[in-house]
Amino acid sequence: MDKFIFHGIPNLIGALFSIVFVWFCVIKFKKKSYKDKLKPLIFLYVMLIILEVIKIFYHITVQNAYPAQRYPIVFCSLIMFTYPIICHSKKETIAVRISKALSIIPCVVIGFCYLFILPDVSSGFSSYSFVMNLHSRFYHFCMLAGALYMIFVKLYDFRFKDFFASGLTVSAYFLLCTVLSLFIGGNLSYFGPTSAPVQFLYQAVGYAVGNVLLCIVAMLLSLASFAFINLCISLHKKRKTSRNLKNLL
Amino acid sequence: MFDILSLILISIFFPIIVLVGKMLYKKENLSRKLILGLTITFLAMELLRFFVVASYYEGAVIPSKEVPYSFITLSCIVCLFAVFNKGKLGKIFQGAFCLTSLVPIIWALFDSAVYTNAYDTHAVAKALYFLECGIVLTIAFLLVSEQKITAWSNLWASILLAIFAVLDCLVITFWETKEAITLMWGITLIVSFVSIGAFYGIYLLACLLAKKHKDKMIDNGKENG
Repeated sequence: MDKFIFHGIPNLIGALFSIVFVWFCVIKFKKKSYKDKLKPLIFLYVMLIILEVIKIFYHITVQNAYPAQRYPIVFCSLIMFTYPIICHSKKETIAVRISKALSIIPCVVIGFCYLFILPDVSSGFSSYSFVMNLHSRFYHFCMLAGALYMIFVKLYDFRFKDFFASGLTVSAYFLLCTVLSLFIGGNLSYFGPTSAPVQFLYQAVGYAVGNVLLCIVAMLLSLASFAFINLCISLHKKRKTSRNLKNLL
Repeated sequence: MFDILSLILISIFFPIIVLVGKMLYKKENLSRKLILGLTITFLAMELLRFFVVASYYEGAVIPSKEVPYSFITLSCIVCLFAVFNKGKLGKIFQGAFCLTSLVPIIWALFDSAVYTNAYDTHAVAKALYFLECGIVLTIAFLLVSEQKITAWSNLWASILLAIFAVLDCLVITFWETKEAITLMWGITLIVSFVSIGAFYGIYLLACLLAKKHKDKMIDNGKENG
Protein backbone atom coordinates (compact mmCIF):
# COMPACT_ATOMS: atom_id res chain seq x y z
CA MET A 1 0.00 0.00 0.00
CA ASP A 2 2.83 2.37 0.92
CA LYS A 3 4.54 1.62 -2.35
CA PHE A 4 1.33 2.39 -4.23
CA ILE A 5 0.97 5.73 -2.43
CA PHE A 6 4.60 6.67 -3.02
CA HIS A 7 4.95 5.49 -6.60
CA GLY A 8 1.52 4.62 -7.99
CA ILE A 9 -0.39 7.83 -7.27
CA PRO A 10 2.31 10.26 -8.50
CA ASN A 11 2.84 8.10 -11.58
CA LEU A 12 -0.88 8.03 -12.33
CA ILE A 13 -1.19 11.79 -11.89
CA GLY A 14 1.88 12.43 -14.04
CA ALA A 15 0.87 10.01 -16.79
CA LEU A 16 -2.65 11.45 -16.86
CA PHE A 17 -1.27 14.95 -17.12
CA SER A 18 1.04 14.07 -20.04
CA ILE A 19 -1.68 12.21 -21.95
CA VAL A 20 -4.20 15.04 -21.56
CA PHE A 21 -1.60 17.71 -22.32
CA VAL A 22 -0.28 16.00 -25.46
CA TRP A 23 -3.76 15.10 -26.72
CA PHE A 24 -5.09 18.63 -26.20
CA CYS A 25 -2.05 20.40 -27.68
CA VAL A 26 -1.76 18.13 -30.70
CA ILE A 27 -5.42 18.70 -31.61
CA LYS A 28 -5.13 22.46 -31.10
CA PHE A 29 -1.73 23.17 -32.67
CA LYS A 30 -1.11 20.48 -35.31
CA LYS A 31 -2.24 22.56 -38.28
CA LYS A 32 -0.95 25.90 -37.01
CA SER A 33 2.20 27.82 -37.93
CA TYR A 34 5.65 26.99 -36.57
CA LYS A 35 5.53 29.93 -34.17
CA ASP A 36 2.18 28.83 -32.74
CA LYS A 37 3.43 25.27 -32.36
CA LEU A 38 6.07 26.54 -29.96
CA LYS A 39 3.52 27.96 -27.49
CA PRO A 40 2.99 24.69 -25.55
CA LEU A 41 6.75 24.35 -25.24
CA ILE A 42 7.01 27.86 -23.77
CA PHE A 43 4.29 26.89 -21.30
CA LEU A 44 6.18 23.70 -20.42
CA TYR A 45 9.52 25.32 -19.83
CA VAL A 46 8.01 28.10 -17.71
CA MET A 47 6.38 25.33 -15.69
CA LEU A 48 9.70 23.48 -15.36
CA ILE A 49 11.35 26.64 -14.05
CA ILE A 50 8.50 27.18 -11.57
CA LEU A 51 8.86 23.57 -10.43
CA GLU A 52 12.60 24.12 -9.93
CA VAL A 53 11.97 27.27 -7.87
CA ILE A 54 9.38 25.39 -5.78
CA LYS A 55 11.96 22.67 -5.16
CA ILE A 56 14.56 25.16 -3.96
CA PHE A 57 12.04 26.88 -1.65
CA TYR A 58 10.87 23.54 -0.32
CA HIS A 59 14.41 22.44 0.52
CA ILE A 60 15.34 25.71 2.17
CA THR A 61 12.13 26.19 4.15
CA VAL A 62 11.01 22.66 5.04
CA GLN A 63 14.24 20.64 4.91
CA ASN A 64 16.46 23.51 6.14
CA ALA A 65 19.18 22.48 3.68
CA TYR A 66 19.78 22.56 -0.04
CA PRO A 67 22.09 19.63 -0.78
CA ALA A 68 24.29 19.55 -3.90
CA GLN A 69 22.41 16.48 -5.17
CA ARG A 70 19.36 18.66 -5.74
CA TYR A 71 21.08 21.43 -7.72
CA PRO A 72 19.53 22.00 -11.16
CA ILE A 73 22.59 20.72 -13.01
CA VAL A 74 21.67 17.07 -13.23
CA PHE A 75 21.10 15.21 -16.48
CA CYS A 76 17.34 15.90 -16.49
CA SER A 77 17.97 19.65 -16.11
CA LEU A 78 19.38 19.70 -19.63
CA ILE A 79 15.83 20.14 -20.88
CA MET A 80 15.52 23.48 -19.03
CA PHE A 81 18.41 24.81 -21.11
CA THR A 82 17.28 23.39 -24.46
CA TYR A 83 13.64 24.62 -24.44
CA PRO A 84 14.55 28.34 -24.35
CA ILE A 85 16.94 27.80 -27.30
CA ILE A 86 14.15 26.14 -29.31
CA CYS A 87 11.49 28.69 -28.40
CA HIS A 88 13.43 31.92 -28.74
CA SER A 89 15.60 31.30 -31.82
CA LYS A 90 14.49 33.01 -35.01
CA LYS A 91 16.34 30.70 -37.42
CA GLU A 92 16.69 26.95 -37.40
CA THR A 93 20.40 26.81 -36.64
CA ILE A 94 22.38 23.69 -35.71
CA ALA A 95 21.96 24.66 -32.03
CA VAL A 96 18.17 24.60 -32.43
CA ARG A 97 18.24 21.26 -34.22
CA ILE A 98 20.43 19.73 -31.53
CA SER A 99 18.27 21.22 -28.78
CA LYS A 100 15.24 19.63 -30.41
CA ALA A 101 16.97 16.27 -30.69
CA LEU A 102 18.02 16.46 -27.04
CA SER A 103 14.50 17.44 -25.99
CA ILE A 104 13.04 14.37 -27.63
CA ILE A 105 15.23 11.26 -27.47
CA PRO A 106 16.56 11.38 -23.87
CA CYS A 107 13.22 12.70 -22.59
CA VAL A 108 11.22 9.83 -24.04
CA VAL A 109 13.70 7.34 -22.56
CA ILE A 110 13.78 9.04 -19.15
CA GLY A 111 10.00 9.52 -19.08
CA PHE A 112 9.26 5.86 -19.77
CA CYS A 113 12.01 4.77 -17.38
CA TYR A 114 10.31 6.81 -14.67
CA LEU A 115 6.99 5.25 -15.48
CA PHE A 116 8.09 1.62 -15.46
CA ILE A 117 11.60 1.05 -14.10
CA LEU A 118 12.82 3.78 -11.81
CA PRO A 119 10.15 3.78 -9.04
CA ASP A 120 12.07 1.05 -7.22
CA VAL A 121 15.52 2.39 -8.08
CA SER A 122 14.70 5.90 -6.90
CA SER A 123 12.98 4.75 -3.71
CA GLY A 124 15.74 6.35 -1.65
CA PHE A 125 14.74 9.71 -3.05
CA SER A 126 11.01 9.24 -3.10
CA SER A 127 10.69 7.81 0.39
CA TYR A 128 12.10 10.88 2.04
CA SER A 129 9.27 13.16 1.00
CA PHE A 130 5.95 12.54 -0.70
CA VAL A 131 5.86 16.14 -1.94
CA MET A 132 9.29 15.85 -3.55
CA ASN A 133 8.33 12.50 -5.03
CA LEU A 134 5.26 14.07 -6.61
CA HIS A 135 7.37 16.99 -7.77
CA SER A 136 9.93 14.71 -9.36
CA ARG A 137 7.30 12.66 -11.20
CA PHE A 138 5.57 15.82 -12.42
CA TYR A 139 8.89 17.24 -13.67
CA HIS A 140 9.76 14.09 -15.59
CA PHE A 141 6.29 13.70 -17.06
CA CYS A 142 6.52 17.32 -18.26
CA MET A 143 9.68 16.26 -20.09
CA LEU A 144 7.88 13.26 -21.59
CA ALA A 145 4.87 15.38 -22.57
CA GLY A 146 7.08 17.93 -24.33
CA ALA A 147 8.94 15.23 -26.23
CA LEU A 148 5.76 13.44 -27.34
CA TYR A 149 4.17 16.73 -28.37
CA MET A 150 7.23 17.59 -30.51
CA ILE A 151 7.06 14.18 -32.19
CA PHE A 152 3.31 14.35 -32.93
CA VAL A 153 3.27 17.89 -34.34
CA LYS A 154 6.48 17.15 -36.32
CA LEU A 155 8.54 19.98 -34.86
CA TYR A 156 11.74 18.11 -35.63
CA ASP A 157 12.62 16.00 -38.65
CA PHE A 158 15.21 13.41 -37.68
CA ARG A 159 18.46 13.58 -39.62
CA PHE A 160 21.07 10.91 -39.06
CA LYS A 161 23.83 13.52 -39.25
CA ASP A 162 22.59 15.16 -36.04
CA PHE A 163 23.69 12.21 -33.90
CA PHE A 164 27.24 13.52 -33.84
CA ALA A 165 26.49 17.02 -32.58
CA SER A 166 23.89 15.82 -30.07
CA GLY A 167 26.27 13.17 -28.74
CA LEU A 168 29.00 15.77 -28.38
CA THR A 169 26.61 18.15 -26.61
CA VAL A 170 25.59 15.51 -24.10
CA SER A 171 29.26 14.63 -23.52
CA ALA A 172 30.19 18.29 -23.05
CA TYR A 173 27.29 18.81 -20.60
CA PHE A 174 28.33 15.67 -18.79
CA LEU A 175 31.95 16.84 -18.44
CA LEU A 176 30.85 20.32 -17.38
CA CYS A 177 28.64 18.89 -14.64
CA THR A 178 31.46 16.59 -13.54
CA VAL A 179 33.91 19.47 -13.22
CA LEU A 180 31.27 21.54 -11.40
CA SER A 181 30.64 18.61 -9.10
CA LEU A 182 34.33 18.50 -8.21
CA PHE A 183 34.55 22.27 -7.74
CA ILE A 184 31.58 22.59 -5.41
CA GLY A 185 32.73 19.53 -3.53
CA GLY A 186 29.25 18.11 -3.81
CA ASN A 187 27.97 14.88 -5.12
CA LEU A 188 25.71 15.88 -7.99
CA SER A 189 23.33 13.10 -9.02
CA TYR A 190 25.13 10.75 -11.44
CA PHE A 191 28.10 13.13 -11.66
CA GLY A 192 29.77 12.85 -8.26
CA PRO A 193 32.57 10.36 -7.51
CA THR A 194 30.28 8.36 -5.22
CA SER A 195 27.07 8.44 -7.27
CA ALA A 196 25.49 5.03 -7.06
CA PRO A 197 24.64 3.93 -10.62
CA VAL A 198 28.15 4.27 -12.06
CA GLN A 199 30.24 3.94 -8.93
CA PHE A 200 31.57 0.51 -9.97
CA LEU A 201 33.12 2.12 -13.06
CA TYR A 202 34.71 4.90 -11.03
CA GLN A 203 36.13 2.35 -8.61
CA ALA A 204 37.54 0.18 -11.39
CA VAL A 205 39.27 2.83 -13.51
CA GLY A 206 39.12 6.05 -11.53
CA TYR A 207 36.63 8.91 -11.52
CA ALA A 208 38.05 10.96 -14.42
CA VAL A 209 38.71 7.96 -16.68
CA GLY A 210 35.21 6.67 -15.91
CA ASN A 211 33.78 9.97 -17.08
CA VAL A 212 35.71 9.85 -20.35
CA LEU A 213 34.38 6.33 -20.94
CA LEU A 214 30.84 7.52 -20.19
CA CYS A 215 31.26 10.26 -22.79
CA ILE A 216 32.17 7.60 -25.35
CA VAL A 217 29.12 5.62 -24.27
CA ALA A 218 27.00 8.77 -24.74
CA MET A 219 28.32 9.12 -28.29
CA LEU A 220 27.58 5.47 -29.06
CA LEU A 221 24.08 5.70 -27.55
CA SER A 222 23.41 8.81 -29.62
CA LEU A 223 24.53 6.96 -32.75
CA ALA A 224 22.41 3.91 -31.87
CA SER A 225 19.26 5.93 -31.11
CA PHE A 226 19.51 8.03 -34.28
CA ALA A 227 20.22 4.94 -36.37
CA PHE A 228 17.21 3.15 -34.85
CA ILE A 229 14.88 6.12 -35.41
CA ASN A 230 16.08 6.58 -38.99
CA LEU A 231 15.60 2.87 -39.67
CA CYS A 232 12.03 3.08 -38.34
CA ILE A 233 11.32 6.18 -40.45
CA SER A 234 12.69 4.61 -43.64
CA LEU A 235 10.73 1.39 -43.03
CA HIS A 236 7.57 3.44 -42.45
CA LYS A 237 8.15 5.39 -45.67
CA LYS A 238 8.74 2.18 -47.65
CA ARG A 239 5.55 0.68 -46.31
CA LYS A 240 3.65 3.84 -47.13
CA THR A 241 4.91 3.98 -50.72
CA SER A 242 4.17 0.29 -51.31
CA ARG A 243 0.66 0.79 -49.91
CA ASN A 244 0.13 3.77 -52.20
CA LEU A 245 1.36 1.74 -55.18
CA LYS A 246 -1.03 -1.08 -54.33
CA ASN A 247 -3.92 1.37 -54.11
CA LEU A 248 -2.99 2.85 -57.48
CA LEU A 249 -2.79 -0.57 -59.11
CA MET B 1 43.27 -4.89 -16.49
CA PHE B 2 40.49 -2.24 -16.50
CA ASP B 3 43.11 0.46 -17.06
CA ILE B 4 44.45 -1.29 -20.15
CA LEU B 5 40.92 -1.80 -21.44
CA SER B 6 39.99 1.84 -20.94
CA LEU B 7 43.27 2.99 -22.51
CA ILE B 8 42.57 0.92 -25.62
CA LEU B 9 38.92 2.01 -25.77
CA ILE B 10 39.74 5.71 -25.44
CA SER B 11 42.68 5.51 -27.88
CA ILE B 12 40.50 3.81 -30.47
CA PHE B 13 37.28 5.76 -30.05
CA PHE B 14 38.76 9.25 -29.83
CA PRO B 15 40.18 9.15 -33.41
CA ILE B 16 37.02 7.43 -34.67
CA ILE B 17 34.78 10.16 -33.20
CA VAL B 18 36.94 12.97 -34.63
CA LEU B 19 37.27 11.36 -38.08
CA VAL B 20 33.53 10.60 -38.26
CA GLY B 21 32.85 14.25 -37.43
CA LYS B 22 35.27 15.30 -40.17
CA MET B 23 33.48 13.06 -42.67
CA LEU B 24 30.03 14.33 -41.67
CA TYR B 25 30.81 18.05 -41.76
CA LYS B 26 32.71 18.56 -44.98
CA LYS B 27 34.08 22.07 -44.69
CA GLU B 28 37.04 23.85 -46.21
CA ASN B 29 40.38 23.34 -44.47
CA LEU B 30 38.66 21.36 -41.72
CA SER B 31 41.54 18.90 -41.55
CA ARG B 32 44.10 21.68 -41.02
CA LYS B 33 41.89 23.39 -38.44
CA LEU B 34 41.45 20.12 -36.58
CA ILE B 35 45.20 19.49 -36.57
CA LEU B 36 45.89 22.97 -35.17
CA GLY B 37 43.14 22.69 -32.57
CA LEU B 38 44.18 19.24 -31.45
CA THR B 39 47.87 20.24 -31.24
CA ILE B 40 47.06 23.17 -28.96
CA THR B 41 44.77 20.93 -26.90
CA PHE B 42 47.55 18.34 -26.70
CA LEU B 43 50.02 20.92 -25.38
CA ALA B 44 47.48 22.28 -22.88
CA MET B 45 46.66 18.77 -21.65
CA GLU B 46 50.31 17.87 -21.25
CA LEU B 47 50.92 21.00 -19.19
CA LEU B 48 47.78 20.34 -17.16
CA ARG B 49 48.87 16.74 -16.57
CA PHE B 50 52.19 17.95 -15.27
CA PHE B 51 50.59 20.45 -12.89
CA VAL B 52 47.91 17.98 -11.73
CA VAL B 53 50.57 15.46 -10.74
CA ALA B 54 53.29 17.88 -9.66
CA SER B 55 50.97 19.86 -7.39
CA TYR B 56 50.05 16.76 -5.43
CA TYR B 57 53.39 15.89 -3.87
CA GLU B 58 55.74 17.73 -1.56
CA GLY B 59 58.98 19.06 -3.00
CA ALA B 60 57.53 19.48 -6.45
CA VAL B 61 60.58 21.55 -7.48
CA ILE B 62 62.90 18.54 -7.58
CA PRO B 63 61.92 15.91 -10.14
CA SER B 64 61.21 12.60 -8.50
CA LYS B 65 59.27 9.40 -9.03
CA GLU B 66 55.96 11.22 -9.55
CA VAL B 67 57.04 13.44 -12.45
CA PRO B 68 54.76 12.57 -15.38
CA TYR B 69 57.62 12.40 -17.89
CA SER B 70 57.34 9.81 -20.62
CA PHE B 71 57.54 9.45 -24.40
CA ILE B 72 54.32 11.47 -24.67
CA THR B 73 56.18 14.57 -23.44
CA LEU B 74 58.69 14.22 -26.27
CA SER B 75 55.83 13.43 -28.65
CA CYS B 76 54.14 16.72 -27.68
CA ILE B 77 57.30 18.72 -28.53
CA VAL B 78 57.73 16.87 -31.84
CA CYS B 79 54.05 17.47 -32.65
CA LEU B 80 54.50 21.23 -32.18
CA PHE B 81 57.47 21.24 -34.59
CA ALA B 82 55.62 19.00 -37.07
CA VAL B 83 52.53 21.19 -37.19
CA PHE B 84 53.98 24.69 -36.95
CA ASN B 85 57.20 24.25 -38.99
CA LYS B 86 56.32 24.32 -42.68
CA GLY B 87 59.87 23.81 -43.96
CA LYS B 88 61.80 20.65 -44.73
CA LEU B 89 62.45 20.09 -41.03
CA GLY B 90 58.70 20.17 -40.41
CA LYS B 91 58.19 17.31 -42.88
CA ILE B 92 60.87 15.27 -41.14
CA PHE B 93 59.16 15.86 -37.81
CA GLN B 94 55.80 15.00 -39.35
CA GLY B 95 57.05 11.61 -40.51
CA ALA B 96 58.72 10.90 -37.18
CA PHE B 97 55.63 11.95 -35.22
CA CYS B 98 53.23 9.88 -37.33
CA LEU B 99 55.32 6.73 -37.16
CA THR B 100 55.84 7.00 -33.40
CA SER B 101 52.14 7.69 -32.68
CA LEU B 102 51.64 4.18 -31.28
CA VAL B 103 54.60 4.40 -28.89
CA PRO B 104 52.81 6.27 -26.02
CA ILE B 105 50.13 3.57 -26.01
CA ILE B 106 52.71 0.77 -26.00
CA TRP B 107 54.63 2.45 -23.19
CA ALA B 108 51.42 2.71 -21.16
CA LEU B 109 50.48 -0.91 -21.88
CA PHE B 110 53.82 -2.22 -20.63
CA ASP B 111 54.45 0.16 -17.74
CA SER B 112 51.56 1.68 -15.77
CA ALA B 113 54.01 4.01 -13.98
CA VAL B 114 53.83 6.44 -16.91
CA TYR B 115 50.26 7.41 -16.05
CA THR B 116 49.49 6.30 -12.50
CA ASN B 117 50.17 8.37 -9.44
CA ALA B 118 49.19 7.49 -5.90
CA TYR B 119 48.35 11.12 -5.09
CA ASP B 120 46.01 11.54 -8.04
CA THR B 121 42.85 10.47 -6.21
CA HIS B 122 40.40 11.26 -9.02
CA ALA B 123 42.65 9.77 -11.73
CA VAL B 124 42.64 13.07 -13.63
CA ALA B 125 46.23 12.67 -14.84
CA LYS B 126 45.43 9.13 -15.96
CA ALA B 127 42.41 10.31 -17.95
CA LEU B 128 44.51 13.08 -19.49
CA TYR B 129 47.18 10.56 -20.51
CA PHE B 130 44.59 8.26 -22.13
CA LEU B 131 43.01 11.16 -23.97
CA GLU B 132 46.44 12.35 -25.11
CA CYS B 133 47.10 8.90 -26.59
CA GLY B 134 43.86 9.30 -28.57
CA ILE B 135 44.84 12.81 -29.65
CA VAL B 136 48.28 11.66 -30.83
CA LEU B 137 46.69 8.96 -33.00
CA THR B 138 44.12 11.40 -34.38
CA ILE B 139 46.74 14.01 -35.31
CA ALA B 140 48.84 11.26 -36.90
CA PHE B 141 45.90 10.04 -39.02
CA LEU B 142 45.05 13.58 -40.08
CA LEU B 143 48.67 14.32 -40.98
CA VAL B 144 48.97 11.06 -42.92
CA SER B 145 45.84 11.94 -44.92
CA GLU B 146 47.41 15.30 -45.86
CA GLN B 147 51.08 14.43 -46.36
CA LYS B 148 52.87 11.39 -47.76
CA ILE B 149 55.31 9.56 -45.53
CA THR B 150 58.61 8.59 -47.12
CA ALA B 151 60.68 5.53 -46.23
CA TRP B 152 63.26 7.86 -44.68
CA SER B 153 60.73 8.73 -41.97
CA ASN B 154 61.40 5.29 -40.46
CA LEU B 155 64.96 6.41 -39.79
CA TRP B 156 63.86 9.73 -38.24
CA ALA B 157 61.30 7.96 -36.07
CA SER B 158 63.92 5.43 -34.93
CA ILE B 159 66.35 8.25 -34.09
CA LEU B 160 63.59 9.99 -32.10
CA LEU B 161 62.94 6.82 -30.15
CA ALA B 162 66.69 6.33 -29.58
CA ILE B 163 66.93 9.92 -28.25
CA PHE B 164 64.08 9.16 -25.90
CA ALA B 165 65.80 5.97 -24.73
CA VAL B 166 69.01 7.88 -23.97
CA LEU B 167 67.07 10.65 -22.20
CA ASP B 168 65.12 8.09 -20.20
CA CYS B 169 68.36 6.37 -19.17
CA LEU B 170 69.78 9.70 -18.02
CA VAL B 171 66.60 10.64 -16.19
CA ILE B 172 66.40 7.23 -14.52
CA THR B 173 70.06 7.39 -13.52
CA PHE B 174 70.27 10.96 -12.29
CA TRP B 175 66.72 11.87 -11.19
CA GLU B 176 65.53 8.44 -10.12
CA THR B 177 62.12 8.89 -11.72
CA LYS B 178 61.61 5.16 -12.02
CA GLU B 179 62.94 2.20 -10.14
CA ALA B 180 65.54 0.92 -12.59
CA ILE B 181 66.23 0.02 -16.20
CA THR B 182 64.63 -3.38 -16.17
CA LEU B 183 64.16 -6.13 -18.72
CA MET B 184 60.60 -4.90 -19.22
CA TRP B 185 61.97 -1.46 -20.11
CA GLY B 186 64.11 -3.05 -22.83
CA ILE B 187 61.23 -5.14 -24.16
CA THR B 188 59.02 -2.04 -24.29
CA LEU B 189 61.69 -0.23 -26.27
CA ILE B 190 62.01 -3.11 -28.75
CA VAL B 191 58.23 -3.31 -29.20
CA SER B 192 58.18 0.45 -29.73
CA PHE B 193 60.77 0.09 -32.52
CA VAL B 194 58.67 -2.68 -34.05
CA SER B 195 55.56 -0.46 -33.87
CA ILE B 196 57.28 2.11 -36.12
CA GLY B 197 57.68 -0.52 -38.83
CA ALA B 198 54.17 -1.81 -38.25
CA PHE B 199 52.67 1.66 -38.64
CA TYR B 200 54.62 2.20 -41.87
CA GLY B 201 53.51 -1.20 -43.17
CA ILE B 202 49.86 -0.44 -42.44
CA TYR B 203 50.29 2.96 -44.09
CA LEU B 204 51.73 1.38 -47.27
CA LEU B 205 48.92 -1.19 -47.34
CA ALA B 206 46.30 1.55 -46.95
CA CYS B 207 47.94 3.54 -49.78
CA LEU B 208 47.90 0.46 -52.01
CA LEU B 209 44.23 -0.24 -51.28
CA ALA B 210 43.32 3.42 -51.87
CA LYS B 211 45.16 3.37 -55.22
CA LYS B 212 43.39 0.15 -56.27
CA HIS B 213 40.03 1.65 -55.32
CA LYS B 214 40.83 4.82 -57.27
CA ASP B 215 41.86 2.83 -60.38
CA LYS B 216 38.67 0.80 -60.14
CA MET B 217 36.60 3.97 -59.97
CA ILE B 218 38.41 5.40 -63.02
CA ASP B 219 37.84 2.15 -64.96
CA ASN B 220 34.14 2.18 -64.05
CA GLY B 221 33.93 5.79 -65.16
CA LYS B 222 35.53 4.96 -68.52
CA GLU B 223 33.17 2.00 -69.05
CA ASN B 224 30.16 4.19 -68.32
CA GLY B 225 31.50 6.76 -70.77
